[in-house]
Parts: sequence; structure tokens; C-alpha cells
Amino acid sequence: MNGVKGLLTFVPFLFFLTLFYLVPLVFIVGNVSFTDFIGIIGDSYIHRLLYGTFVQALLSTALALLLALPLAFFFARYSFKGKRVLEYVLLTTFFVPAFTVAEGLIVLLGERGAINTFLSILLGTEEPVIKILYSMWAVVLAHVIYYVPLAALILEQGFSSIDQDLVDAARVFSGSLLRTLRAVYLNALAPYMVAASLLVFAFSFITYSTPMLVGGRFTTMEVEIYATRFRPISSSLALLQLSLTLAISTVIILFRERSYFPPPAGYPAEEPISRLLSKPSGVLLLVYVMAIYVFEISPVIIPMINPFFEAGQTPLGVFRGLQEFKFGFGLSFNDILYQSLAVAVVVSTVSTTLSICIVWSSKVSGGFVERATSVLMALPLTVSRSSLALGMLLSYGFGITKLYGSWVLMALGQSAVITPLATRVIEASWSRVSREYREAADAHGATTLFRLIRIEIPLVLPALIASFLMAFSSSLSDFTFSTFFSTLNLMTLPVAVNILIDTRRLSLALALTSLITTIVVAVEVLGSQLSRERLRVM
Amino acid sequence: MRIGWKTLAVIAVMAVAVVTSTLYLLLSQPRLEDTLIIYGPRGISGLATALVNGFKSRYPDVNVTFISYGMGSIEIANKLIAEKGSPVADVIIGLPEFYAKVVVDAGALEPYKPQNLSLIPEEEIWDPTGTVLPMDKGYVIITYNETIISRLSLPPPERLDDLLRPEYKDLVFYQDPTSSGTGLSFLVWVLSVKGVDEGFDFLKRLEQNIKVHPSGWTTSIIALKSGEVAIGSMFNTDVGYEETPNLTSKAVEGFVYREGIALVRNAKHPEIAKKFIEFVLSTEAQNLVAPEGYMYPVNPKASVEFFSYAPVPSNRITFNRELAGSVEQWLDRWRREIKTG
Amino acid sequence: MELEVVGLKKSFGDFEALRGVSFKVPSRRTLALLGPSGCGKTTTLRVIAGLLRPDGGKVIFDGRDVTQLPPRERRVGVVFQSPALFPNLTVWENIAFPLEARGMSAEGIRRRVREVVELVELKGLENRRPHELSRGQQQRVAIGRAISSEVNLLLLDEPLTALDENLRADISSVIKNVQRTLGLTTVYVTHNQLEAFMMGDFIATMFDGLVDSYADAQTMYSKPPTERTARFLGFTNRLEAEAELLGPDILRLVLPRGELRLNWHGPRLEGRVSILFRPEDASISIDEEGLLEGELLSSTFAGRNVVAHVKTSQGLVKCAGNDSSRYRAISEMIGRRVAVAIDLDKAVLIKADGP
Repeated sequence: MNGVKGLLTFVPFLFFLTLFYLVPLVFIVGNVSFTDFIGIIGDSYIHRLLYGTFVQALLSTALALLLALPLAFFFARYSFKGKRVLEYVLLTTFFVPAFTVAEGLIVLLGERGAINTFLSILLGTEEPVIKILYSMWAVVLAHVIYYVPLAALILEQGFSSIDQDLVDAARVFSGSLLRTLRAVYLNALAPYMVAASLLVFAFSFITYSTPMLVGGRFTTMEVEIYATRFRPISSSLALLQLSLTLAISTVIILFRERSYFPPPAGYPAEEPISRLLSKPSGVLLLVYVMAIYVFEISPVIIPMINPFFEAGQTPLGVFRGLQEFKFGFGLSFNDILYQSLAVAVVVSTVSTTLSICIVWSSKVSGGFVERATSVLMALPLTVSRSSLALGMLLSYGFGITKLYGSWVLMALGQSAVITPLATRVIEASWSRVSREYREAADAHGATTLFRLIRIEIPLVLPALIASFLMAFSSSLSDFTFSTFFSTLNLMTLPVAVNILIDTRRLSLALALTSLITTIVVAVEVLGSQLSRERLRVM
Repeated sequence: MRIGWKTLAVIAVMAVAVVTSTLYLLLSQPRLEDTLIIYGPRGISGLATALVNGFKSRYPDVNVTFISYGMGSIEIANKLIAEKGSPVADVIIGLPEFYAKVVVDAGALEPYKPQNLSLIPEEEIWDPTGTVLPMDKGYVIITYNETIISRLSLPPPERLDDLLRPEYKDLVFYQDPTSSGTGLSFLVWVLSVKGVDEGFDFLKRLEQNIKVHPSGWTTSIIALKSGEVAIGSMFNTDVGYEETPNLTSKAVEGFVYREGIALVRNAKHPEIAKKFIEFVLSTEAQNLVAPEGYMYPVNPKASVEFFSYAPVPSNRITFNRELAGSVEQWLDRWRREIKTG
Repeated sequence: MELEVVGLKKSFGDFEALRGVSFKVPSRRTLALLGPSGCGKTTTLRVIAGLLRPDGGKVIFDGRDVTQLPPRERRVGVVFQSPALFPNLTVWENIAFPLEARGMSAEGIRRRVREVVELVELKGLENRRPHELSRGQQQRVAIGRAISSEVNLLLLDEPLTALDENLRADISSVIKNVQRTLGLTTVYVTHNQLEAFMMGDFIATMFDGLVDSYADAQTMYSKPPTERTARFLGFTNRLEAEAELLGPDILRLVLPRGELRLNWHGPRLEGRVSILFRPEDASISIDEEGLLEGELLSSTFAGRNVVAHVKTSQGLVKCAGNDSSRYRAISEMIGRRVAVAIDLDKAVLIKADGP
């Protein structure tokens, strides 16, 4: 790759990073005053916030990973009918609005909630047994619910990459299970554990709505940033948080790079699930997996069906109510639905196309460019949505361009936050395209473009579909950019939820939230059918 | 270069979808330059929509829209101040009484005396500079779940100080003032009555009884419904709300939350803006206030039938203009000393 | 097209895979590149194809230095060890791939692919996908793909290695047929001697990143030029002798059991020489006549012949030249001293290197 061409391959990635992140962030950081910044560094209140945020993120990461490990093992080793659907459905908690899960938690964990009521009856006590709602632990629990699926998906790849022969050899030679675990499993899983930890930690650190909803007195840095959102001090706070998350992420990423093993080509052997039932440990694993599913899905299902129980109406009745409600200036519910879908289509297309360009150009270049891109693409995950939205409002809404209140900004923001993940999914699949196919193509007359269109894209098509649908779900359930950039003429479903809340129509609001959740679930199930392959995020 | 027909089909479908979506979005959005832009907090978007619709039916050729950026009343006011060099908005609505002075002093607003001001009684006009005109008002009161209170054989709360009763431990709530207008009103109520330092002292002692500070109205309702809390601050119009039928109040004392509407200095469409302000004070527009939300009109000719069920507090506290410090300082202090202290 | 590689060097980190590989392949001929695993033959092939850039040296097609050219512009056809057929394309589309890549017209493609399908005997399977084919069929598609567009050079990397015995004959005949029909210069990489001799007009042996010997197949089989190559090709028995040229055609060899005179047409040979010979060319002598003698250690019935091991003063000698009818007789002599007869005409005489 000669010089100019090499530089050109950096373009898609730089374009994405600059347009979607650097420009908005510069506008935020540009607001930072030196005195403010020094002030907050010495502020003990801020120290307390950071400490609390950090501890919570650490706990969330540790617990999520712990719970995800057996689940990942299960998915890696055993095959059964409907496995793909189950995997996609599990991702639902990642994409539904935080509000949904929070509501589910409140219903389940409240002092007079389902679990406490059940336990009270069981143990015959008056006092509620579990009192973790409105505390840091509720936040940690919510994070575990959101992120266990993602962690499991990543770790599954780790388990799949372990050569079963190696395990057997280790068992024979070392005898002890513990030593086998250390020698074979820990070694192979290390890079995947690091990748999963980074994602969960970053997401947990910048959390905002969850602490607001179920955290009680526990509060995080992002909440403080949000509270001071349009004051100069928030820029200093945002800069401080950004520096910290970047530093932590960089350390983690560099650590990962040192222990990076390229994924093996092909798919390792799976056993049929019947083998699992033949041993007691297997049954235990199965029970565990089912328990995890109940744990994950119930906070999503409950808010979905609750509104209908409460309102005493049929789903049809409630949705008729939605149809009759006047949302914005001349906007009916159907208009809002179409607008949401339109924005989602644009976002999915933009982010998928961008991701393909970024992955392709980095792979074509190989070497340093490829690794740098892979590493740097993880950094946007550490920027909080509200900071980014504010930055976009300042830069593109009123600064460089005057796009305030425009759907373009909405689409820009939503694309920004989902592209890093989409890139990951596509890259994971791309790496698995055997080098031999590329060489065979090159040797037989293909230009890089021809090879891309005729061979590489068809081979990663399942991943393309998966990331398209991921972006679609993410856009539909995004609250941050939607509320920031909506006007009376431009509304998406989440904004409609807010309007219903603001006009005290709680049951309709909750019904609409369940509609969004249902669409997300349906999209994920569709994804599992269209994509012939399993979902990979690493 | 040959591409398989299947690939071509997929690309074609995608292209059609994207183009259709983009065109749809482009065509359905009016150009904001030619539009009368109204700023306001997200919380009154329902009322704002009704006002805009009403205005448009009077002046069909005018483009109007309401923008909140999902912000609260203080935030959108700050945004207005930040833009005062070249303002985006023409009118601001939902400007709280306790923050109006900040915006006026910053020079972001233009004094205007609409004709319809004559319809509004003297006591409703709260801005001495005549810049911010009254728009609507609400009553924040102490409500309680009568089922739970009677079940626990507790005396119902009537006044602020009652909330400190030790029997009320873990039963009380008021919303997080950073994220909730109701909570902010409660905070301003406490400070207006007791002064800043005693007020914060009171709130500190109150924390003994506080179960949770819900982030907003929805979470308050959810907490009440699930029985997590039994006593707390709500608007008087929430009493007897379908979702919380057991919610009631002695309505002995309460805070009058007042908000206003004002003309933005150097607005792009000043003439239409003035017409809009006229409209908002008119009986027709004021009739929209009650049905659309939880607040009362300021025009006495407007109907309040809608709220006949709601108890109006006997002792009505308004914002104490003499209070030291600013809303932002109080909020910062609240987060530091009360929430996490 | 004549292929020449000159001084190819390639390292992977600390490991030197190629240390100066050079050879020539005349136009329309096949070179079999033979050597053990890890000797660098696949690397050499990839360098010729352009899939690897060498650290040093040149690749020359018909006098033109193509070392800097990307694979696309070299016009080579490559058959990989695993067929590497594009899984998303049918047999037809796989074969058509190089033609499409080069922008041939639809009509032209149709005609050409049909020809190739005939040539590799895949008629009727055009619409199948690779995963629906047997290994042998896959390999044929790979061959078809390699030659469908006009290539100057055909490169095959161990194409028969992963196939079962019965398939090998099949595929090798397809390859030969293709070569014959198209007259392509070919480089055939393998570690299997039999394949090398079957497919190659010329053979080059490679060890440790260097070409050790280069000769036409006949010569390579009967008189490999170096000791290492000879050993690799089965001349596993080795004797030492003193040589002296007595006149232009006569060579005198002094061996432990006596001396010989041979008609000698080879190069000058003086002093210590190695005599390398195949087990098949050594037999236990019935009438006690032989160049060597030693103790008979073992005798094994091996189907057609008897394999016997004799411990001589010069080391262990393996004899496989006796017909199996002699098995009983030979077995009775285990433990006794026997004479070993060697067919020197079939032996390789090389100057011994070092003590």
C-alpha cells in the first residue's frame, strides 16, 4: 500500500470520528474555563460523585461478566433449535428504553412489589425482605440486566475459540480441573473478557437515566453533568468525565492489544443439547440459563403487559386512544410512527454504510491502520449521549450550520452512537472471512472493489443485516437525541411518550413504551431469521 | 463488473427506502426561518401544542412551532439568555416566576404591554418590570394516600412542618428539584417561607422521613401507586387522578407556582410574536389551559370547570422575591447537601 | 511463457523462509517443486503469484521483471491446497469469476466457462454450491477457475495432498489433461515424490529455503545430483569408498571387500566418495558375491520382496532387492554373515563432503 492510498484508507474512519464526535466535543470543551476546571478537580462533592460512579461501574462490570460466563459457555457448546432466535431476543434489554427496565424493576423490587410480596407470604413476615430499590444496588442490578446479554455474546466467541482437543489434553496431563481452567480457559478467554469489560464499564460509567429512575440518593457524574447542562460548569464536568473514561478505556484497550489472538476461521463443533441433560452439572447449567432468561426478560415483559392490566382495556382500546390523541401541530400518532420509521431507516442505512466503509478500508490497509481503527472505534462508546447531543446542538444546531430542530441532527446523533457497535459486529464477521478467499480473488484478477462486492460483502451479509437491524432498534428507542431535536412538526415515538407523560396520560404513555419494546423485540426476531449466522460482536 | 441480481434487488430496495424516508422527512418539515418560534419547557408541551393549534386557526397563513429541546424551564431560559446576541426564538412561555428576574436582568427580553392584559386581574401580574406577562398558575400542595394513612392510623399532614413528624418515617417524598418542576416549586416554597439557610436546615431534617426523590411526575405516580410512599408534594389537580384515586389533601397551605410569557428582544418576527402573546392572554386561549394540563388560567373569564374537583389551598404562598442567591445556587446546594449529604 | 526466479528472499520475523531461491521453468513445461514440509515451497509459490512480496530477489516472466506487479496483473492461475472456492458462488460463477473480474463480455464468458466445464469434467454440476460438492469435484472447480481466463502460468500448491488415494489418480489426470490442452507453464508444489515424478518435466528439490538440486525428471530419479536430494528421493543407503580415475572412462573404487572398476562418464571424481543406493538395488547375495558383507539382523516379508537389514562395517544397510520367494532361505541366515550385492549402475556417486 503506497503512501497516498494508505492515507486514503484512513478517510472513512476520520470522517466519521470528526463529523460525528470531534466537532461536537470541541464545541463543548471550548466552553471550559480554566478556573472552573481547577475548581471541580478540588471539589470534594465531585470526588464523591466520581468515586460512587466508579464503584458502581466496577460492580456492574464484575457482576455482569460473572453472570454472563456460564451463559456464554452454554451458547458456545450446545446447539438446539431456536438458538439463534433466543440469542437475538436476549439482546432486547440492550435496546429497549431504560425507562422500561426501570419500571419493571420498580414493579418487581419495590417494597410492595412482586418479589417482596411473594417472599413475605413465603416467610410469613410483614416487613419487606428486599430493600434494594432506590439505591446503588438497584442501579447495578439494572446495568446487569442491560449488559449481561452483550457480555455473553462476546464471551461466547471466547469459548468458541477454545479448541476442545486442547481442553482434553490439558485434562489428561494436568488432572485437576482447576489447572485446566487456568491453563486453557483463562488464557483463551482473556482478550474477550477484556473487550466485554470495557464495553460494560464504559456504558455503566456514563449512565444517566437509570440512577435518576431507581438510584434514589445514589447519583453519578453524568447526572450532575445533566443537571448543570446549559451552564459553563457542565463543560468542565464533561471534560473531566471524558478524560477519565478515555484514560481508563485506553489502558484497557492497550491491555487487550497485548493479549490479542486473532479469531480462528470456521466454526467449532457444538454438541446437541441432549448431552447436557445426561449429567447433573449439565442440568444445573440448563436451570441457570433459564433463570437468567427469566431474570432478563421479566423486567421487559412486565412493563409491556402491565399497562393493559392497569388500564383495564384491551390493547386495541389503548391503541385506539393513541390514535385519537393529538400530539403536535397536525401530527397524529401515525405521522409520528412514520417519522420514527423514516428516521430509523436513514440512521440504519447511514451507520451500516459508514461501518462497511470503515471496516473495509481498515482491512484493505491492514497493519497499523487496521489496529488503530479497531482500537479508536471503541473510544466513542465512552462519550455520553447527552454530552454529544448538547455538542451537536451547539456545533451544528447553532454553530457551523443552523440545523436546530432538524431531523438531520436527530439522525446524526443516533448514527453516532450506534456506528461503533455496528462496526464491531461487521468487523467480527469480516475477520472470519478466510484469507484464502481474498487471495484466491486477488490471484484471479479481482480488483479490490470487485472482490469487495462479489466476495466479501456477500460473505459478511448476515453481519450487515444484523447491524442494520441493531441500528434500527437503537434509533427507534432513543430518547436523548429525539427529545433534544424534536419540534412540534418532528416527533418520534419516544418524544410521543414524553408528551403523554407531560399531559398526565400515564397509561397511554406506558402503552406506547410497550409498543416501542414490542417493535424492538420483533425487529430482533426478524434479524435472527434473516441473518443465517449467529450474532458476533467480536 | 457484474453484480448478482439478488444483490441489485436488495440495493434497490434500500435505496428506495432511504430516498423515500429522506424526502418524507424533508417535505414534512417547514423551514424554521419563516416560522414563529416559541421556546418553553418540555413539561408544558401539551398546552403549547394547544396554543399553537389555536393560534394557527386564527392566523392560518402563519408558521408556528414550539421547541423545548427536551429541556426544563430553567434550562430553556438559560438557552434563551445564551442566544441573546442573535436569538432563535421569538417568544418564551413557561418562564417561572422565580427565574424571571435572571432572564430580564440579562437583557434577553423586550417589555411589551398587550391589550389583553386588561383582562388579567392586577394580583395576577407578578413581574414589576412589566416584561414577563402572566400566563398560568398552579398550586403545589401536600398530598397523601388516605388509604395508607388511615391504615397506619396516622394524622394526615396539613402544613410543611407536619412533614417532620417522626411517624411519617419512610413515607414522605418530594420530587428531585433538578429534574422536576414540581420538586423545584416545593423547594422554592420551603425557601420562600423559611429563608434560605433555615429552609435547607428544614430539608435536611426532612430527609429522615424521605423515602425517595422521584425524578418527575411519572415516577411520583408510580411510587404512589406501588405504595412505596404515602405523603408528598403534587399539584392540586393530581388529587383524585384516575391512576391514584386514593390521593387526597387537606389543602391547608400550598405554593402558587406562576409562570409567564414574554417577547424576546430582537426577535425575528416581532409583530407575529406580539399577536401570539395577545392570543395567549385571550379568553379563548386561556380556556385551553385547564383541559390541557394541570394549571389554572389567569384570565378570570376562562373556565375552570375542569378542575372543580381539585382542592385549592387556603393559605397560598408565593415566591419570596427577597430570597438571597439564585435558583441554580439552590439546586447545586440541594444536590450537595440534601441529596447526597 | 518462461518463468525465472532469481535469489528470492523472504523472512517472517526472525524466521528466514526463503534464503535465495533460484530456478527456471522453460515455456510450456512443468516444474515440480519438491521438498519436506516447511522448506519454503509454498512461500515460493505465493511469491511467484504475487500474494507475497519478497524481501529480495526477482520474479521474471518471459524476461519481464514482475516482482513489483500485483497478483491481478501477473495473469497466473492458482490452485490452493484447500480449494478456496467462493462459498457464495456456484460452480459456474466460481469458474466465471476471473473472466468477470477482467470484464469479459457475457457471451464470451458463457462460451469460455462451458469449455472449461467440459475440460475439467464437471458437466451437470454447474449450479451447485461448493458445499454441495465432493472434495474431488471441488478441486476440479478450483482447477477450472485457475485456468478459465488466459493465464501465463499455472501454480498448484499440493493439490492432491488432501485427497484420498483413489481420487488422486482422477485429479492428476485432469491436471495433466488441462496442461496438455492449454500448454501452460506450470509449477507444481508437493512433498510427495511420486506426484513430483508423475507431474513434473523438471524437478527442483528444496530444503530450508534453498533449492538443492534441479534436473529433469529422468535424471533426478536415477542420478540425483546431491547427497541430500538423493537421500530425500530414497537413496537411503550409503557407502564410502576411495575413487581414482584411471583414464578418461574408467573409475576405480576401493571398497572394504575389494575394488572395482567402472565405466565412468560422469564428472571427475577423486578421493573419498559417497555411494548412495536405493534399498531396491541392494540384495542379499546367494553365492556370496557382493561388495559388502555383514551380519544379517532381520528379514521381513514385504509382499513382493523381502526387506532385510544388514549390519556392515559402514553402518546399517537396508536391502529390498530380493524376491519374496527367497524369504525362507534368507531368514535362515539371520545372525550369520552374509554378502550384499549392489547394482552400481543404479547408484549415485558423489564426492563425499567432509570427514
